[in-house]
Amino acid sequence: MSVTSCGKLQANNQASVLNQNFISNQVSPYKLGDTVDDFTLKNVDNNMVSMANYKDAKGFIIVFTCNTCPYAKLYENRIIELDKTFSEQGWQLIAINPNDPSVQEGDSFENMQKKAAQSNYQFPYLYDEGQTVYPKWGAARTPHIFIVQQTSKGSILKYIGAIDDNARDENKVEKEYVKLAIENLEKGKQPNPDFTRAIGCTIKTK
Amino acid sequence: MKALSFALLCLLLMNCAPKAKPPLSILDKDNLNIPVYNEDGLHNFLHQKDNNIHVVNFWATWCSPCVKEIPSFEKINQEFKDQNVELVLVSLDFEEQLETNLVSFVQKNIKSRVIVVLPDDQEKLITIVDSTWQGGLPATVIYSKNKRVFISGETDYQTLKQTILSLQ
Repeated sequence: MSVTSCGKLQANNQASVLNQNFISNQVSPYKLGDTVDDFTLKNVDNNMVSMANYKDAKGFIIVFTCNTCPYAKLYENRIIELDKTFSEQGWQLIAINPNDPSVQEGDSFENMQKKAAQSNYQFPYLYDEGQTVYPKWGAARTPHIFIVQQTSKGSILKYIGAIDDNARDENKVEKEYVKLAIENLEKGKQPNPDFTRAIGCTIKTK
Repeated sequence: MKALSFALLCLLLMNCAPKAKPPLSILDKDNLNIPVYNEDGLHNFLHQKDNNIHVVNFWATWCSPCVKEIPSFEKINQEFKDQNVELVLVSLDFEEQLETNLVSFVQKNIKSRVIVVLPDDQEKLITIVDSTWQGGLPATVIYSKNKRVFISGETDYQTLKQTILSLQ
């Protein structure tokens, strides 16, 4: 058991946080404005995929998601729509499954392949083998979205959070956070909001 | 006239009473009494100013690590029931699954107090619970007048017990 901090913590002498969902000796996860490292992970088509494979991308919509979580399932169509909308504009969506299949069998690589085929994913759906990537990003639930913009200084993290403000009912969505964030970035502005939260499933780890 | 007096009395009492919001509805199938709130109604459960230690766990029947740790909470509830410890299990089950999934699960597995929260605004709900919470289930808040502990992710009987003892 260890006491770690994650995301945006406010100083509070009386409160303590026991975060048992993080690897105990990891470095702090990325904050907004940080330059993120690339990754090389296996895709459902058995090829290895990195951000570097997309030399012309303006940026990336990194979606930590999985097969099993009801909230991930609620958002599946919207994730597919985001890819359709923004890949044409040069923003590459990359889905990463951060779960440990030995803890959650439904998230095995084979099941990821089945899901991607059934739902006809047109974007990479990568397996975070060894679970080394998601802690660097600070992914804390599924689904959890990170938008990265390519700049001359590297890949900069510009948005962390939810896809929109209504998981349960797509028709009642008022704020499409990811869409708004990219529209702002396209205009040379900062996403606003750049950090949102939503209910989801914790990431499955031993 | 009687109705008017009654209404006035209610109004008066509502203004004088502590600010506990009434539930939106109650699941009362088969002797169960599970009140359903939105996130505003949850506030009261997280900010009691009495001499008790409050344990508030956020879970759902569809969340397997949540379900796995329920027996630990039941054990704690039983062990500490005469020691000023109050436990509430807050279900974030989906509205359309309350009658089908939640009720039968609670009947079979839970003796502790259960409430349901159906949030209109998830960001607001998360902020009410803890500013550091990233929204993943399960999560647990344990607090007393002087100290507050937030546990993100799965927990276990020993951790719960140690935390409660440290607050006593």
